Amino acid sequence: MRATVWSGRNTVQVENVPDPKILNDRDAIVRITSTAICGSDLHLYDGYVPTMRKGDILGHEFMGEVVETGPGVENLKQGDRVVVPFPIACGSCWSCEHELYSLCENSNPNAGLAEKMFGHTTCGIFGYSHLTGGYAGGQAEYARVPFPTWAH
Amino acid sequence: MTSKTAITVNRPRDEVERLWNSSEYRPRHAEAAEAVVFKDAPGDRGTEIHVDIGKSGPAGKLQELFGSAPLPKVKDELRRFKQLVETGEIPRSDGSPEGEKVERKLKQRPAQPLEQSELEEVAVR
Repeated sequence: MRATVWSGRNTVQVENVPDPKILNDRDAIVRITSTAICGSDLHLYDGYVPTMRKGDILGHEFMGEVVETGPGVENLKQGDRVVVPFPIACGSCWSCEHELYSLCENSNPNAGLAEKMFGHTTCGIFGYSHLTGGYAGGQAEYARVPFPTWAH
Repeated sequence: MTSKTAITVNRPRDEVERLWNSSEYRPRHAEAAEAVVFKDAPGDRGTEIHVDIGKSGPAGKLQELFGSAPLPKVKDELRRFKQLVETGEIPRSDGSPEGEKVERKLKQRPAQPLEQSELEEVAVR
């Protein structure tokens, strides 16, 4: 697929990258129909956010159509049109149960890194550096959406 | 050097202790710990797991960061245990396709989907 890729300070280009695949049972793949460039993408573009890597796909505000779901996804099916919120939230930790989705305790696989730097971690976020998980973003033709419980 | 770590799991204590001791969930490195203590977390937040790995030799700050000392591995295991118990899976990203893993921290993949060969490496069909 084609995707917007960060390749260094002030350098962003559209490149060919592999298509996303389901990695876990509670993943969905979304074909993106609309996506946005956020003001906060400028911080990435300008190189102010640490832990960016060449090749990172940007984009954390997107919507589209579900094209594939893992066996653990119960609320969505192929063909559903969804808006995907940028915090990735598991739905079952204490923070998620209290609707504090941006503090999800499970969705950031680089939580240890964030804790080392900030003392506490955020949730995982699409296309927003490796401190927030290293998830590929939504300025692309397709995206893998883990825990799509909150996509609607 | 600190040799203690802890995590809070959003489940009652008897369930956490039972899963911790089950063959499917039991963390390998934490098993070698000097002490593992389970406590009810305050504010109805589930169960705290405190692990003290005891003296781990002259591991320095660098080793702690790069993960050859056991403490970072125990921390990984605690988080993976919490993730499995609470969500039923180990969340993976494109940058960290194995999930939370200390060796991955400084060797992140770019955040773009994996090639077929990489998918096989991390055991995804």
